[in-house]
Amino acid sequence: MAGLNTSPGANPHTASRPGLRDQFSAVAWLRWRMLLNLLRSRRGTLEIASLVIFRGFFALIGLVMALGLGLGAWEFTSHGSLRLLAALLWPVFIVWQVIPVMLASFQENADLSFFLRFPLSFFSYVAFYLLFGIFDINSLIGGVALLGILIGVTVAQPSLFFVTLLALTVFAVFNILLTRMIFAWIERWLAQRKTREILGFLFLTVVLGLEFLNPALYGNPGHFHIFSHSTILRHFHGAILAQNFLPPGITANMLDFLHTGHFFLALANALFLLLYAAAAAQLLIVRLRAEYRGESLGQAPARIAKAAPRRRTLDGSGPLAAVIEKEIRYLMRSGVMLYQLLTPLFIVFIFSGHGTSPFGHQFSQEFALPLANAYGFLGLTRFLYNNLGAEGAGIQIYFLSPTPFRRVLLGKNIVHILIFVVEMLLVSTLVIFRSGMPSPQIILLTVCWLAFALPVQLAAGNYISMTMPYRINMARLGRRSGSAGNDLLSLLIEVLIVAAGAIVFIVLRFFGHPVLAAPVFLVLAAASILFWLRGLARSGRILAARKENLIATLYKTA
Amino acid sequence: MATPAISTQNLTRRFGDFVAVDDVSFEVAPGQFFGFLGPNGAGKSTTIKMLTGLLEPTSGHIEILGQPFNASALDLKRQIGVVPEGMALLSRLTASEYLRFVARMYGLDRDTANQRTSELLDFMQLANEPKKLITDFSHGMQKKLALAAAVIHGPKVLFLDEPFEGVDAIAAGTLKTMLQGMIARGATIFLTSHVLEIVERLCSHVAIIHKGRLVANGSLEELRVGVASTLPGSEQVEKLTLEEIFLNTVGAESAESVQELSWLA
Repeated sequence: MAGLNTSPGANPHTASRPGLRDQFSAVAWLRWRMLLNLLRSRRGTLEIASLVIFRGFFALIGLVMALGLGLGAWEFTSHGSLRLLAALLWPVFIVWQVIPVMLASFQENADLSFFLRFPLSFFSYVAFYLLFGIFDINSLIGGVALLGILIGVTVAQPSLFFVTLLALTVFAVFNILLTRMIFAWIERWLAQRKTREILGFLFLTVVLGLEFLNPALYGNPGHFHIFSHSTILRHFHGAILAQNFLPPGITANMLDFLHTGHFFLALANALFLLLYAAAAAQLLIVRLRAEYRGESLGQAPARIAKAAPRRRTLDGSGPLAAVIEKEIRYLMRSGVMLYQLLTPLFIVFIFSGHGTSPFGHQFSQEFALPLANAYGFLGLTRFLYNNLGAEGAGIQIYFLSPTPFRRVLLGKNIVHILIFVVEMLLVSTLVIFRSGMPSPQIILLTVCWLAFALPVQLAAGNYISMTMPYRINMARLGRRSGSAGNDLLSLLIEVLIVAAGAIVFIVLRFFGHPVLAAPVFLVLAAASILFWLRGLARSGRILAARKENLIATLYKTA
Repeated sequence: MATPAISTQNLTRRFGDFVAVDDVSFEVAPGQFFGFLGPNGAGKSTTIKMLTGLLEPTSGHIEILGQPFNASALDLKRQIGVVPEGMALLSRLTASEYLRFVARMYGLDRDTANQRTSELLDFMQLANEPKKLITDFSHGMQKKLALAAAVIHGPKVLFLDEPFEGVDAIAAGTLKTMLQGMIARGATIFLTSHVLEIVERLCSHVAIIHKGRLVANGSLEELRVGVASTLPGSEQVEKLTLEEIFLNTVGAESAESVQELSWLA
C-alpha cells in the first residue's frame, strides 16, 4: 500500500469546512437531480405532474386572495385608513397557520436529520429547516397574498412601497417562523407517549367543552340572533383593542404610524413585531437544537424499567386477528396518524357553525352533515390510499408467510371501517351541535351515501396502495416525497365520489323526489361492496406483478 | 438419493436487459448447511428472493421439499423460514408482539405462539426489553429477532440472507448455536454471507455465484481440490481456506487501482 502511506498533515487536498452557500447549492443540486431522475419512470412523471397541479391549484387560490386583498389594500390606503389593513392581514395570518393543519397529510415536511451526517453547522441546519418552509403551500399562498397587499398599497400611495415591503417582509418572516415552530413542536409532542395522551385528553376536553359552550351561548340552535346589536359591537371593539397587540394588528399599526409621521410609535410597533418573531424563532431553535444534537423523533418513549404484567392480546388466534391487532397497535403508537385523524374535526368545528356558510343558515343546517362527512374522509386518506406505507421492510413478512394477501388487506380494511365509523360519528356529533339537527331525510341520505362511498374508497384505496405506495414515517408530520401521484389520484377519487352523490341528489331533487336518492345510493352501495370484495379477491394477482416494486419502495430508506 | 430439500433448474431472472441470475441449477440435500456465496451484485439476494417467493423468476423451475414452489404455494411456505434482506421487521412493535404476530401469520394458535415467543426471546436474550420498540433495537438485536421470527413456526428449510452482517461476536455465537441445533435436528439451511470464516465453519456445502452464473458448487473438500488443481506449485489442498477458494474462483479486484488514491490517509 505504498501509495496510501501518506500522513494526514501532508495532504494538500484536505476538505475545508464547507460554507452555507456550498451546502445550499449541493442540496439544491440534489433536489434538482432527484426531480430529473423522477422523469425516468412513468410513475415519476405522474408525480411531477401531480406536484405541478397541486402547486398550481394553491397558487391560483393565492392569486384570487391576492386580488381581493390587493383591492382592499388599495381602498383602505386611498382613504388613509392604513390601520384597517389589519382586517386584510388577519386572513393571511389565519391561512398561513391553518393550512398546515388542514394539509397535514399532503404537505411535504422533509426529515432534515438526513443532513446531520454531514458537517452541517447548527446555523445551516436551522437555515435549511426554514428554507424548506418557504416552499410550503401555506407560504406560497401567504406570500402571494402579501404581494397583493403590497401592490394595492403601492398603487394607492407609491411613497409607501419601501416601508410596506419592509413591514410585510417582517410579517412574512414571523409567519414562517411561527408555522415551522408549531410543526416542530407538534411533531415532538406527538412522538412521546405521555404528551400524546395528554394532548389527546386536552383535545377531547376542548371539543366536548365547545360542544356544551355552543348551545349555552345560542340557547336553541335554531335561534342565532340571541345577542343584541350593541353586545356584538361591544365584543367587536374589545377584539379590535386586543388585536392591536397581535402581529397582524401590529403590522397595520406600524404602517399607519409611518404614514402619519409617528416614527417612534412605528418603531415601537416594529420592535414589538420583531419580538414576536424572535420568540417564535427562539422556541424553534430550542426544538431544532435538540434534533441537531441527535434526538430522533423515531425513538420510542422512555422505557419503563419493570415489565408490566402480561395483558391479554386483543385477538382470537389467526392471521386476520393478528393483522387487526397489529394495525391498532401501530395507530395507537403514532401520534402523527392520530393527529391526522383528528384535524378534520377541528376544521369541521370551525366551518360548521352558524353564519360560517357562505350560502346562509338554511343551507348550513341542511347540508352541513353530508358536507362534513365528505370532508371527514380526508382524515382517512392516508389510511385508505397508502395502507401499506407504514410497513417498511416488514412488508416482506406478508409475502413470506402462508397467509393470502387478501386476508391481510381485509384485516386492514376492517380497522379502516372501525376508524371510519368513529370519525363519522364524531364529525356528525360536531355538526349537529354546531348547525342543529338536519332533517331525517338528510340523515337517511347521508347514511346511504356513506354506505356507497366507503366501499368504493376501500376498493380504490387497496388498489392504489398496491400500485402507488410510498413509505410513511410514523414519527413525522407531512407526506413523504414520492406521494404526490398517490395524493392526486386519491383526491380525484374522493371528489368523484362526492360528485356522484351530489349529482344523484340534485337530479332527483329537481324532479321533486330527493328521497329516491336513498334507494339509488343503496343500489350503488351494493355494487360498490361487490367491487370491493372482488378487488380483495384479485389482490394476490394484482400484487404478483408489482410485489418487487412494492418491496423496493417501502424498504428504501430515504 | 433422497428428494432434495431445495432444487433449482435453469433459474433465470432478468431486469430489462440485465441478467441478474443466469441459468442457475443446483440441489441442496435435506439436512445440509448450504452456503451461497458471491461478490456484491453477483445475484445472491435475487436468487434467495426467488427461492422464497419474493420475486418471480423470468424462467426456470424451483422445487422445495420435492414440490414445485411459487409465490402462491401456501402449504410450502408453512415449511420454510426466511430472514430476508432488510429483515422484514415491523419497527413499531415490541419484540414479543412481533413474534406473536409472525407466529399467527404462519397459522400457529395463540397459546403455541405465546409459548414459543417466550422461549425464543429467552434464548436470544431479548426478554429483558419487553417494552422496547424494534425501531430502538441495535442492529444485532434486530438480527436475532429476525432469526427468531424465521424459526418460530418450526420450518424444515431455512433461508438466511446475510444473517451475520453487522452482528457482534456474542450475538453471532447465539445465532450459530441455534442454527447448528436446527441442522442436528434435520433442518436444511440455505445461507448467504460475506463472512467467509463463518461459512467455512458452518457449511458443509458451498456454491459460488458470479455475475449471475454459478461458477462453483460442491462440498468444501471438492472445492478445495478443484481450486488446488488450478494453482501453480504445490499448494496443500487441506490448507486452502474458503477465502482463497472464493478469491481464486471469482478473481480478486486489482490492488493496484487502490494505490492511485494517494490522497487517502
